[in-house]
Amino acid sequence: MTFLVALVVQLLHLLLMLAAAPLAVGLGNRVAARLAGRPGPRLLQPWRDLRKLAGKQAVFAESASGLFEAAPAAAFAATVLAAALVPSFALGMAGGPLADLLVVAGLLMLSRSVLALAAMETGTAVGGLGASRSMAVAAFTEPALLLAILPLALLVGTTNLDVMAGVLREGAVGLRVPLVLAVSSVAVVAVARLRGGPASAAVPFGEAATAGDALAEEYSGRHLGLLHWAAALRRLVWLSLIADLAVPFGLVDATGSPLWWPVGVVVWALKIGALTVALALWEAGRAARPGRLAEAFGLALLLALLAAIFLYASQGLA
Amino acid sequence: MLPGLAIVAGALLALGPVAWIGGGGLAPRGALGLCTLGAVLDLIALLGGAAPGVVEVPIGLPGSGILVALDGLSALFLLLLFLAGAAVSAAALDRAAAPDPAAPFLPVLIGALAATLLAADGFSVALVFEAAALAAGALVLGGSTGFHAAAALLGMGVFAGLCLIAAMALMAPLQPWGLDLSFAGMRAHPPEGFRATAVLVLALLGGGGAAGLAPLHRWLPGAQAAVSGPVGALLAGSLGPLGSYLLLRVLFDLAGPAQPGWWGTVLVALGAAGAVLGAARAVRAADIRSIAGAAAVAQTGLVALAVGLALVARAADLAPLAALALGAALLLTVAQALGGTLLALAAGAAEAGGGTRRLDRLGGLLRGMPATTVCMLVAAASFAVLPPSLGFAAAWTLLQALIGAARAGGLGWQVFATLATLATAVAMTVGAVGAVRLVGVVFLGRPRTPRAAAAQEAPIAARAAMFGLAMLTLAAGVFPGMVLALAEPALRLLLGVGMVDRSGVLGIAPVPQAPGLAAAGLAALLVLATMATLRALRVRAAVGHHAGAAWEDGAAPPPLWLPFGDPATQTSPDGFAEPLGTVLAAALPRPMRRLRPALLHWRRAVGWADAALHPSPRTMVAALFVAAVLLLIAVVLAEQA
Repeated sequence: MTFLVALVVQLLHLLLMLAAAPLAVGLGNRVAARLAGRPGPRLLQPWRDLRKLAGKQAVFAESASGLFEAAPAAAFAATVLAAALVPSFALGMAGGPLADLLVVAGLLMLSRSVLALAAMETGTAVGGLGASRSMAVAAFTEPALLLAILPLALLVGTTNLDVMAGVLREGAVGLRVPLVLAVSSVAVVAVARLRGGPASAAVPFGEAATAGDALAEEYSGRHLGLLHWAAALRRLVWLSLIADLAVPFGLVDATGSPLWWPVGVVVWALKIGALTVALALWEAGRAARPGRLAEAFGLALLLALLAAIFLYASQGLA
Repeated sequence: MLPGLAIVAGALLALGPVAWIGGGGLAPRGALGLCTLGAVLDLIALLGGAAPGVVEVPIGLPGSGILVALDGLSALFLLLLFLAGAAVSAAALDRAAAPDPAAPFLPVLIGALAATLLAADGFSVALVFEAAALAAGALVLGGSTGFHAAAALLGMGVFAGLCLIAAMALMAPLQPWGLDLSFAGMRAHPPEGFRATAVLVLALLGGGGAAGLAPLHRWLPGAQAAVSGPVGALLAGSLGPLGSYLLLRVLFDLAGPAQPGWWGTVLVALGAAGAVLGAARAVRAADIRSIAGAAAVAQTGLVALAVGLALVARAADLAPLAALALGAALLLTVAQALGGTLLALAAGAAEAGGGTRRLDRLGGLLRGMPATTVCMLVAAASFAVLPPSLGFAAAWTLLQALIGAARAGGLGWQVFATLATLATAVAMTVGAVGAVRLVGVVFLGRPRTPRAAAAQEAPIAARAAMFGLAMLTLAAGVFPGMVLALAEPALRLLLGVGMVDRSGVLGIAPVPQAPGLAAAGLAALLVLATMATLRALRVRAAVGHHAGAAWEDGAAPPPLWLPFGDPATQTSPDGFAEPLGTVLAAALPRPMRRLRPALLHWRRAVGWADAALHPSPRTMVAALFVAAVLLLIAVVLAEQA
């Protein structure tokens, strides 16, 4: 019975993530437009775009193979699985034992690699550029992320996200310097990864090759819609992850009273909204230039290393 | 099972001369049969618990015969060797290919490697190891440009063998009738003091040299680049595990459990350096063989790092952590033996099909070679540590061990372990970039030359071999707990504790009763989600799709005289790796950027050192002779002391 309830919450969580991802992008677009002095599109605009794309006829490059057609589905599936594993409003969901932080990082990497391969498959200049830049972003952010997971895992005693968020919610670890540093490192990685994605103001006009658009350049119709949806979902995964680690308060128990679920959903929505606004403010204040990735890499690495060293120096090993 | 396995190894050794007389086709066919038989026998022994057993063969040095033994450790490595050997022999079954004069050495090499794993006394280990080096040298010599590579390989083999015999002589107790070189004698007589340090250095030189560990890795890509296809796959996928086996055998088993923890730190440092170096080479390599060699170097580095962690944890009396680290090392070894062999086999098939090994002349092989592409995707996913591959399961276990390693020492060790974690993460991610580059440049996109456009699928035997290895790699990735169950006898032998309380059909956990990596569930959900999404795409297919020229930002389609499009507009192999260099240059602080001229000077010095390390064969033989004499003198002095 308990498992059935946990399964129901798991499905609810997944549906919520799938539905909310385009909304969060809409909110981000609107805030970014307001900051630039424009009224901006409506919140539901990304959903309308998805509906429009789903009804359009797809055009495939003559040179593309079956791998090109299947890649969006594989990338979307990996992202959906990552989204299912990162808690939104409830802990103790059916997928909790699977929700390892290293696995989530691996799934996001899988989705990124599949998209890079698909972009190289058409043999176009922009696709190849996008693939190589996307992999470079991964190469410079993934090590910092894995290194930031180390002090987090040492503080909590596990890499399981479900357990980790639960321990942090109870306040058993307290507000400690290594925790703040490690979560900041994850946040820097998230900002670097989300740059150039949907709702990111930091895309220089006319230069598609810096954005995720370069990877999707040869896609159209429902396949393009799927890629946009996956990108929105990836953004929501990162924001939820930061919310789980930085402000785990308000997460409800999946096995507790269902009356608390709406409260958890509202609290989660507030957290995601606040993070979206913060991200838009951050990006609006900083011009996009090529050196940013190097800075993010150095900063995230430094924060993660400092977190580990502070932790060792304070002898706070569990 | 032990006599049967010894007979299989002996038959493989004897198959060489028989095939020399009997004709070319006999060697791969016989090797395939014998390897399959050996793998089955070995699996039965392993599933039966692999109770240690020793048999004395009454040939060899006067007074002592050759000792042959099988235990959990050698049984696991023997299984990997026979599986890789069977795949390589099957891939060599190509009837259409020109007869290879070096073909009879293939079973000899497999047999000598198997005999090295089975031998249980210092003399026979060194003897059959040298036989393996000779066979590998002969195989490399069979390649078109193999002379220098064969000289380097032979030199390294002789040197590593001498180091091994010296290490074992240092550990052997002196009996009234002479040195007792049997493993049982060495176990009863663990080395201490400077003698232990000498054993460590010699084992690192011997085992590390054979495996291609960081400072001694230069010969491996060279040997790899000199041979093609199946033989290269055997070198890439079997020499590394052999070196790891020798390291484990000497440092873990024979040297006893009372060795200091800093032994491990040396291995961790060397392994981290090797892993990063190998991954960086894989990203920058210009030809497909070098990528397979660089991948082998990177994987060997990660194995050495995990072995070092296990040594440190054992010295700190953290047996469960040591078992986790050693389990990671064995998983990584399985990934190297299965995935590394598969990668090299698929690379060889791509080279044969596309007519060249240069990345900038290949491209778009997917159209002509779909089966090879699928196999390469499996191997590349494992090298790129993407879930749910075997490489990911191994990397996950290694990262868990690295996280736990913070409890194995003081502040200095903790910072060191953190830096090792960083190196591991960098090696894995850069390796992923290299894997994407390999698949994307060689198999996807447009063909870069007409020859690549006319690529033909590998022969049926090679395809079957690759397919079998790919299936094994996939299954091992989905069920890493079952692989650890096969490694359980080895863990129990070396540490006394295993992973049986933390691994099962469904996955692995870092500590008992805790959530961990549920690999099978992840794989099932991933397949399910992909299928469902594909189905949804197909349901929406009512609106249809049509094919057209690539959009390419609205650029006009290429003219008719460029049937594969404009080659200049496709990302080149160098161009793919270029952003890494640009960002790295921007990421270095300004004082470090000023170091660049100094680094160039340093590179020149390295170039000289490189020339000194690749001498003419005559100089090398002379230097090796002197080294051998010095070593023997040192051993005699040590025994006198």
